[in-house]
Amino acid sequence: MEQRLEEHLIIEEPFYLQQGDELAIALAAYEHAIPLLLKGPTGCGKTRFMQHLAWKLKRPLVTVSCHDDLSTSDLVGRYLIKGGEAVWIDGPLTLAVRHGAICYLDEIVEARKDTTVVIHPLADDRRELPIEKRGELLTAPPEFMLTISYNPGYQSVLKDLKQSTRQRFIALEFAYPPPGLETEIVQHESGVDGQTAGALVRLGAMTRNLKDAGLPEGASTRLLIHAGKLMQSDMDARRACRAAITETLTDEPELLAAISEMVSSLF
Amino acid sequence: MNSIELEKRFFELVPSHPPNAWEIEEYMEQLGPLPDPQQKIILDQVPVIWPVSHALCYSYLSCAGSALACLHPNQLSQWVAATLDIYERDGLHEAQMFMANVESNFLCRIRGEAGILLSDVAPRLTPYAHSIAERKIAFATGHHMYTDTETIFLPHEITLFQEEEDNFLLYKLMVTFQLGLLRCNTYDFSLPLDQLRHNGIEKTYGKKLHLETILLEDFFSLFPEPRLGEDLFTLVEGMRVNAYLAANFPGIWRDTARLRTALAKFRPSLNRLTGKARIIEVLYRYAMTGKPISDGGFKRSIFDLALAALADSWSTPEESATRAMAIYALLEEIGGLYDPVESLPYLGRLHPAEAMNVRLKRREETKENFIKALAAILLPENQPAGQEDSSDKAGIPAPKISGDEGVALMISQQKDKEDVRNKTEPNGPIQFLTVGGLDIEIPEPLRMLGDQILDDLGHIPNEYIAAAQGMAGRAAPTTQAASTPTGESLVAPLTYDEWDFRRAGFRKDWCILRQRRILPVKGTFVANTLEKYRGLLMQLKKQFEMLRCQERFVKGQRDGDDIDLDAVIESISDTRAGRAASERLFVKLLRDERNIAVLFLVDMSSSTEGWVSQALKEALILMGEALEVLGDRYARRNTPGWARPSDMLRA
Repeated sequence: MEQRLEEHLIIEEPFYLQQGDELAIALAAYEHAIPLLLKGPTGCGKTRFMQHLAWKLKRPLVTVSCHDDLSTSDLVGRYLIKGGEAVWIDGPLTLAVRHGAICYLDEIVEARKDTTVVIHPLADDRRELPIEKRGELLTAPPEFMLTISYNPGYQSVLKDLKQSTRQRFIALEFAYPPPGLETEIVQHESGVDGQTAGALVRLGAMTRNLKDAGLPEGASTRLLIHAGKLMQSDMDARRACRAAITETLTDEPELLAAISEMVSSLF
Repeated sequence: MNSIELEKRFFELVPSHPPNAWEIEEYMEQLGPLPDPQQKIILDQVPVIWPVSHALCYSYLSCAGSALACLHPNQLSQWVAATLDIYERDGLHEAQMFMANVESNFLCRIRGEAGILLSDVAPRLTPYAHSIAERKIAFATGHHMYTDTETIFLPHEITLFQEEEDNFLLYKLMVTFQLGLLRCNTYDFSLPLDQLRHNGIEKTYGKKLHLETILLEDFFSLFPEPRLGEDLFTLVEGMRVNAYLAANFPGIWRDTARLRTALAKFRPSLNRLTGKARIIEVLYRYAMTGKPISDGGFKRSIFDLALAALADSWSTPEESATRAMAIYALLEEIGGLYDPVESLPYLGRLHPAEAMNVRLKRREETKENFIKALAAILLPENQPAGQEDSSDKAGIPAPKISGDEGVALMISQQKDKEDVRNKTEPNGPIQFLTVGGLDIEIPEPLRMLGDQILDDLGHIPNEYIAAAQGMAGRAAPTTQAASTPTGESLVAPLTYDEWDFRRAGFRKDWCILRQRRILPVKGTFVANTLEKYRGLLMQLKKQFEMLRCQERFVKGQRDGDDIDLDAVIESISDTRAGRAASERLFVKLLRDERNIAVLFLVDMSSSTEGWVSQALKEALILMGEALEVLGDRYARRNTPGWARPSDMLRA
């Protein structure tokens, strides 16, 4: 079991440029055993921040991508049959609690509502994880940290995070980095030169301006990096942007055409 | 068909609002000599045009015969659709003009020989403009090209180049250039008087200047020849925007290099220009192509000096003004009056007065919205309904939070926004609001309004905050037009295009959506229907209940929440008996959720009057009752009739 957790330990420092004081807040939260809530649009660096934090704290990072079929059992664990015997297998949350790791529940609002039964006692000062099927109550060690994330931009009212849940966390709001910082990130991650990275960042900003004009979400930093990587593979800049950004963002013919015009203006 | 048969056929095609027989007699006689297939093709389009405009339909009937001499029969519907588009955009006269010349107005265009229309490029360029300007920018047809900072006025059509793609590219360049003027803060021009005095304009031209700063609309009138001053400033500022576009939008600048060179061919011949106009034209061409003209019979020394004035880069409109003044002084040597030269097609002219009007209007709207939004935050919470402020009773509105208790907007000193000007004001985004010493998180809409004010004025005026405090003291701000119990419109009508299957195109602004408050009425119809169909309703509910989803355990799964003991025992037995054991040993809890919404669209037009309407209403009541069992969301929308002005959707 220990060996499984070792796989989650991040050895090399993940590249992360701070936008503000998010790292200081997260470290303070860890010190005081308060869970973290990360808010922000897709591809703005939430996961990378968690990797960096885990590396900094030298704790394993157990990431769970939540989906609408994710139940308490998926988080806590379940009995399996092995050689005619019922064997208990820890779920990712139990694994993290048991070994003092960082558990990152990505897009928590997508998970089934019954998961709050285990999240609530773990997120307040009790820091306990009840494992009902085993009749066990785990108390989280000081090294354990719970972090959840969600994107307020595209959640429906039905999937909003309840106050009783969110008020157990310290919240960090992530946005797309300022142009200078984002250029540096795109340049570092994709390997393109500064001028191309700057143009990609301008394109990202232009698409984000369309958020209220029919585009559900603008191009994330991640998409800009993808486009940069394609360009590094000797692909024509306009073709790379079309594949990595334009077609990814929308299927609407008029918006596709408009984003293509943005690309051809910049590259 | 003879004219009588044609008339009969016409009346069959227009059952609603048929005309008098004498009104169509003349047109049917015109169609009479045509072969039967052509008559049929022409009449087939009547149901498409008649509901839109009777007058247009008559014009169509008189033109259609001759149009078919040029058109392939299959193209007639396309021609009609184009005619209707023009009618809805520009009116009857323009549509009649369009129909009058099929070859040049229609066939050339579909062959790609007649350029491209603004209406064709607008859907593509509107989001593009929005993405650059960071706000909505509208397009409109104008006699010449310019922007008032909210709308870009463009030619109705561009036919300069043979290739449609090139004409589109010119539209795109025009739009990008006008947006470049906005990004480069051309209309934020504010020239300090000291700088003017330094340039000696007061001394040179004898203008008496009384203002501290000169705005763009006043700047041109400082020159003895204001139009020359305007053209020079536009040219110099245009070159600054050129440099901005080349640096920030290299793609379009590169794509249009060929076009900009080609546009020089459409410029007036240098030989026909004299004096100052010739130098201006040479400078225009230089601005377009970036290459100086080697020969043109103009005063080389003045041109070289003018180029020297434009040699290095500059970053503000005020610097453009200084350079324009310098070139103006050079041109004074030539003498004679300036005969204005046509501006560059993508540069257009500046309209500072219109831009200022729009800016003031926008400033007023932003101020109003900001005060309302801020007042909504300052409004004391938990005030019992109906409890009025004592100061209201006295007729003197007093703020709940006085100035002494402190309301302040904290503003960051830096702003990460692309800005080609070096602003010194602390115009960063609003960070938080302090009320009585407490920090309050600012909602996004208020933050955006605050940022707009900061962009415009550089600070949030105290009067805005005081007004919001005053409003918060009086009552909750109204966020929309006041609602009334008498059924008036709650908000402004919303218009949108509607698809017309007959013409396979959209009818412009055809639908008008007005929200009206429906007053409750008492009646026994619902109760009577429920009573009358009690048996059927029970049956319906029972059938619907069977559709209801519940959480259920499913046994024998490969994975699941718990172990399926029966399956495990069976598996162990099988293993011991030497048989292959099943792997399906788990129980899974299935929580199927219904995510269904039902919309009933009910035809309540006059054709359903009588028993059909009665049956519809009864069916709706029964369906509504049955759906309540399932908990599915449902809604009803009624369309009362065909006649457009009276059509109404009822929820």
